[in-house]
Amino acid sequence: MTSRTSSSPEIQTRDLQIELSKRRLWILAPSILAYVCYFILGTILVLARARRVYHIWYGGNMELSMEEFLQQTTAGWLGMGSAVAVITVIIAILSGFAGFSFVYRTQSADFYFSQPLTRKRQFLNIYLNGAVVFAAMSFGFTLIGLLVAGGMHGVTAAILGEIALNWLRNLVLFAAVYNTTILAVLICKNQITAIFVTGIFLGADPVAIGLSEYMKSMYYATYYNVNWLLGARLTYRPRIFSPIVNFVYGADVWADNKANELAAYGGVWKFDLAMLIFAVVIGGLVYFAYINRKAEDIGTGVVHPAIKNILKLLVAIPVAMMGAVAVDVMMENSYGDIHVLSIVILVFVAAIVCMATEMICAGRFKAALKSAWYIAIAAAGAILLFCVYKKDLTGFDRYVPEITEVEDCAMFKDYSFREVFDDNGSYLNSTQYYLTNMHLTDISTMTGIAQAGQETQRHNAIAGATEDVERINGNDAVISYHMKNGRYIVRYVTIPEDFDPATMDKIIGSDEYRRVAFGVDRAVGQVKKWDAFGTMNYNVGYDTNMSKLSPEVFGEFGEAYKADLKKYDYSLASSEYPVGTVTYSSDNQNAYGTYFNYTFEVYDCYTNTLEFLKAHDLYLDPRPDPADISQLDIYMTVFDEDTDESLYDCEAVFSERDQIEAVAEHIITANWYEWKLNDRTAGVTVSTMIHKKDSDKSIPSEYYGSILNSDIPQEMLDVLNEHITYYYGNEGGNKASMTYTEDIIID
Amino acid sequence: MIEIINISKSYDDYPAVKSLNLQMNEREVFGMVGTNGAGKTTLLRMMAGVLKPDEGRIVIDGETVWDNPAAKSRVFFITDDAYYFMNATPEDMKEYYRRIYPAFDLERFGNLISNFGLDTKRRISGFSKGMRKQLSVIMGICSGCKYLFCDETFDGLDPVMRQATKSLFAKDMEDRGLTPILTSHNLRELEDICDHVGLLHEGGILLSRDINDMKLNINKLQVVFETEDDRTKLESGLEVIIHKEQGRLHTYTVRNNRETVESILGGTGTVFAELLPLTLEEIFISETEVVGYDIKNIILS
Repeated sequence: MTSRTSSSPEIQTRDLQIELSKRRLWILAPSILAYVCYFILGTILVLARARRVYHIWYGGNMELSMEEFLQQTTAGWLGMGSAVAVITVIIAILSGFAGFSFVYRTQSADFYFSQPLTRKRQFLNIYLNGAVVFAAMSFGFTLIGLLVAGGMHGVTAAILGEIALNWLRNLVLFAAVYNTTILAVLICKNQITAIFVTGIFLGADPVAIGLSEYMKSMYYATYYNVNWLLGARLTYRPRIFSPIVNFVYGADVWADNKANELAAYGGVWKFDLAMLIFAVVIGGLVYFAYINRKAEDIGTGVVHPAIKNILKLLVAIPVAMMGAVAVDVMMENSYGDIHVLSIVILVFVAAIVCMATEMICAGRFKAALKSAWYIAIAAAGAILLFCVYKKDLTGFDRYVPEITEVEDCAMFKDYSFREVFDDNGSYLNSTQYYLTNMHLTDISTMTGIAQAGQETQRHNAIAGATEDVERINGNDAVISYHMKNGRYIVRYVTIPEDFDPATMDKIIGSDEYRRVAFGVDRAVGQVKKWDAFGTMNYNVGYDTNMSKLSPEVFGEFGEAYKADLKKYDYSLASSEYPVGTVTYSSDNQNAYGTYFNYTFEVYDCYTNTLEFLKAHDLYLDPRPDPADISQLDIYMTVFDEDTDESLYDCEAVFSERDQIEAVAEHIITANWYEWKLNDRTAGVTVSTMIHKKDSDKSIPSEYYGSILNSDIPQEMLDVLNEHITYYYGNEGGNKASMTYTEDIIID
Repeated sequence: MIEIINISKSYDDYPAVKSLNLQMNEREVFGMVGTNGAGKTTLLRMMAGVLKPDEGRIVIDGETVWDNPAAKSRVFFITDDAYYFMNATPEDMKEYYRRIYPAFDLERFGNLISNFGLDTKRRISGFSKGMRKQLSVIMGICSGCKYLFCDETFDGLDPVMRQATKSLFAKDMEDRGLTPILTSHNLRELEDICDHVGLLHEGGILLSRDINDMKLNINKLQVVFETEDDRTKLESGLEVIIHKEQGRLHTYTVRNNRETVESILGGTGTVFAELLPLTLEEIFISETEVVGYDIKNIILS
């Protein structure tokens, strides 16, 4: 037997890696299976399917060739934004636990720490094993997937580059998630706690994003979410603490860039850099944590009380705040005063979470009240955070940007009756259309309107929550600031009814507004481009005329309408109802790419438009001949004048000539208009006769309209009040059972 | 040589080892005895480089152990409940250890496994506790390390295996200078194998002595004196550790060698006097009673 007192040969890194890899077969096997399914089977199936459905989707419209379609499919499956990131995250988490959870058992800790390796070498050995195995596996399978896709004609040089970039991004994502997991493992004393902490580390930021948006929508009266419309490129910003969010955001920005035919990687680098910096910083912390980890840190909780307390507050504060929010939700009290119950629930939840954290960390119930004073800190933090939203401490609802920071603005109604189409004939979301196409440059006027609108919006929100405050009537609108730094700031406002019309005219009556709001040139241009014939309808409520028109004739309409639009401003729109509505629709409503439906309201002063309609046999008188009306069925809701609460519904049919003539001229049939506020109106069903053009025949018809309560003669109001159909309130319900025809027709 | 210099270690606020100084010579079997919580395992883990001392340092052959592969490569740590990879066989563990300890003796491993009747292809998870300990001893012997730290290793072995293991140690000590460091609850277990024994209690060393020296220098004496003067004369001439009196019969435990005791007895008037042998346990009890510990209650028999 030889003496072993001399120094032994050095331990080979290759040998250590081989042994470690043998211990990770339980991760390698399912990982390889997942990769085989995704990169080989999945690629084959996806491209085979694409080949089959190509003809179904594109039919005779050969915008994309088969190869282009396959390449597009390959990019979606293997390129940026492919779902392989899910596999990456799972492997990263499993590898982190597999490599370092030996620290949780004395047995395994003694085994590894007693080996003749420095801590540094041991750490690097374990760490790199996980990273290298992943990198090799993911690279190998990415290559295989690429070859499979290439064999199925789905790869070009550009797609190859995209797949390579995606692989690199997945590498960085792996490093970031791997490091985060290892850090969680090393600061905890047992596996269960480590799993929770990993979840907190990886999920806190995405949860914070969602929570923030929810709280804004709940408590900020002027909150209006347009992120989903503007797209990733214009709205996403790198997150400091979330590599997963940055990965997804980067992929979304890439897709957005491509959709807008911009440089694909433009802006994506910021998210990748944030991911990389995060990975490196956390990697440094991981190394520090491992080198300083005590072998005796086994059992319950975390390695340092400060970590436990930070995690406790990180969880307790938002959860406790949500307790208070839950009370507001149940009591519909978003804008009311802070309810005592909210505070009680908040403090209770803070206490529960703090105690639960202590119990989990200590592994026993009796530890619940340890460091009990943290409950007070958590509760105070939660109350503060709650008040930030509830009382709008940051001034979100009051915020108006500095004029010098604004590039241009947009203002539009939240819901537009006008449909907007892109040049391919696909629907465009109208809000998205206005946000990106309207550029109002009178920013100082806009900010003045916004200030008044935001104040009123918040006032009305509070009025809805309390009886002491009266609601201010006004026009709901969306105001958007397009900032010089590229960002959008959007607010939902209520422009008060008594706001200076001259100020509003500056905006509503501007060419910048009208050109985009009505989109005449856009519509005419699209129709000409498609060379699409369509049908023009002119609807005045009680009747409609229609005529097929060529694109050229529609262009003539456009010129006439644009000339009349010069008269359109807030003063007109807020004081008058349109006399009719023009719509121009495609004949073939089902063919892909040629569908359109443009709507234009017509006012009495639109002489050019009315002349055009007359010239093309589309014109109709705005009011029917009262002699053609046989009866009016008026249904009305009566309100309490003091409290504005609904009291009851009533309905009556009037067929006397003098009654019909007294009301007919006041019937409003226009449905499509903006900026006009209504007083109380009753609904009315008008039974009339329609005289057909070029025919002796008249046909009975009904049309629906409304009438101001103030335009109904008193005697008719008296009759209505005698025919109540429904009572509101606690004793509400149908009190009067009556047969429509027999009981309420009044001769 | 292993030098433990002013070592202290606490777990949170609990002091596991307090200002401990100890020296372990090469080619000697050092036994550490103490009850649960005495600090034996903690000390051994620090010596193996697993735990970092709060104070002091441990030096093996002139090199500090902590985070030092050169020092740790001389050490093989056999824990009380040894760790094996999930679903591993002795063959798998052999492969691992031979990479970690490049001086691993593969041929000897094969022989010992065969001699102990262990199946290299069978999963260790199916082994009994004793078989697992046997395997860990075999791994330690074959690793080629100079120092073998055994944490209560003998406690799970049957008498035949215990003897076989002792023989292995003896052979390796002679052949290659192996230095086993053992811990146990059981003093009797260590008596016939250890050259040097240390008694730990509440994180400190109560005593650390060469066994032969202890046996030579502590004697038990039963005496019946003729006169009180004779008693005084005897007591002044000897280093009395413990004195018990039952009527006229006096029992002394003295820290003097046999020759000195006999010499003083010769000059003292006694009705009856007899020197009695002491077991290691009795020596320990005697030594620790002096410092106020009723060691009988803490050393398991």
